[in-house]
Amino acid sequence: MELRAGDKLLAQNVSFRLEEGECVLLAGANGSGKSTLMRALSGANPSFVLVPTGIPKVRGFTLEDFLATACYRESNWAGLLRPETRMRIDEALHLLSLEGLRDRDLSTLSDGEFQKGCIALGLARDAKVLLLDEPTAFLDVTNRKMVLECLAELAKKGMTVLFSSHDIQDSLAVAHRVFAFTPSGEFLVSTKENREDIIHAAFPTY
Amino acid sequence: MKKYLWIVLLLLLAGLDLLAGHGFSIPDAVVFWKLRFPRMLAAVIGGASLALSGAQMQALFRNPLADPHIMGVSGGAGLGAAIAALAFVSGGSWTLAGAAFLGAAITGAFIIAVASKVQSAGTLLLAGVMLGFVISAISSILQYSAGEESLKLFYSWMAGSFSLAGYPSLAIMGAALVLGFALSIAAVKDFDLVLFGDEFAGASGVSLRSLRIRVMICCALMTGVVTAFCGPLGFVGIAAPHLVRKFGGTAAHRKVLPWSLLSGACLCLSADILSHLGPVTLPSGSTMALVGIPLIIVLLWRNRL
Repeated sequence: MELRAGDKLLAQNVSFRLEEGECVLLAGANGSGKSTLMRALSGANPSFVLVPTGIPKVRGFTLEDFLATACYRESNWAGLLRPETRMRIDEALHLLSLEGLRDRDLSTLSDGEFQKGCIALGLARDAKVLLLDEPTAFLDVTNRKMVLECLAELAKKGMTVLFSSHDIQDSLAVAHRVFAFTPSGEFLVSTKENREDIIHAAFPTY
Repeated sequence: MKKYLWIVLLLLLAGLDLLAGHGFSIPDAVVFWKLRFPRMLAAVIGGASLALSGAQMQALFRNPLADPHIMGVSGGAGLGAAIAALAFVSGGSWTLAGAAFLGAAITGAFIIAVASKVQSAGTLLLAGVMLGFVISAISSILQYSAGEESLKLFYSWMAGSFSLAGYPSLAIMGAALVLGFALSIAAVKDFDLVLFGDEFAGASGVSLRSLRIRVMICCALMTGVVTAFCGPLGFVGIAAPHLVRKFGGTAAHRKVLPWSLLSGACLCLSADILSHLGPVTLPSGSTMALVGIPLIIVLLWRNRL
């Protein structure tokens, strides 16, 4: 696959295989093509679900309202969610241990908790592969760890996760492998062993 | 928020409004049917339409300052009225209203055309504000060169009043409100999702372009009709939805839209009552701004509205 943003060629020979239950870090400098790749993937296959990141915590919605509203494409003519969608929302909240927060207003959640809520949305949309574009941006250490551990936990349960992040150290603690865009426009895929080398190729000064 | 509070308040204010006229008085049948009842209906329908437009614009632009005036529609109505006042001074209030509606329709059509072309809501907002300036410049030039008689007619319309609308115009305003309400209620989920950002809304299945066009049609229609018959009434469109969000404690549009409708009607009724209590009848538009705006500022101050 060749990755372009408008007329600009970002990377050639983008090719990779994702195994089930794998958690992969997508690394690369700003503007190297991470977000473009994520968006392209989410558009290519409905079971590749792009988890929203960095969206506002709008006051006046509970976590459950938010999930139900965001799944409205699956509601019937009267605006009621289909039972299977409602079940998937419940399961997602259970899986991420967010049940205690379901009636809390979004504005009262921590950024990490809300990011987990957004991951729950990905699950409620019946994802086979979760795509997360910088889920740890602007999070403090505690919230960052919370989100990354949540991703690791999901991978352990069989979900496939591809996420991008600039918090390399924390991310390597949970990522099995690394995909990276190098400054010269190459796309590199690591094995479980040579993750560090790929990171160095992507960030020569690292 | 008690579910029926707005409804009770609305009925109470509507009753008071029917009694208001040089202090409070029980009207005879002629005064009731010819003056007070249509005046009350105009305040209810006008307030509801403007508040509903404001709530939709604020959601669409995710901007607490957005209201129907911002897209130039009421400015267009003002220009239409200015032209009519200048050219056909003998035509009376129907000519004025007709011309104002035409002006609103033309600016509305222009904004809808822009909405179907531009990518971002910000650009659309900017286009609306700019258009408003162009229009007010043209109507200033017209007023500058107008005669005394026509200026008087124009200014009495500009001040805003619910007493000008008769039953035929009320029927038109009512029809626009019903249509606007139906269109907006059909899109409640879309409005909710837009609050989380355009990209998120798009990814969740909202067609932003179609939503923008629908909102513009809906607001241009409602604001255009109300402005034509009652004059440019400021501030309801911006204040009513904020009151609802504040006291309702919710941002979900299945509640915000219908409640805005009721709160807008309540605001206009209050203004109309106040303007008819004194020995001299004051223009409701001005009463509304004089009483309403300090109220909103106090609320802002105390509660971070």
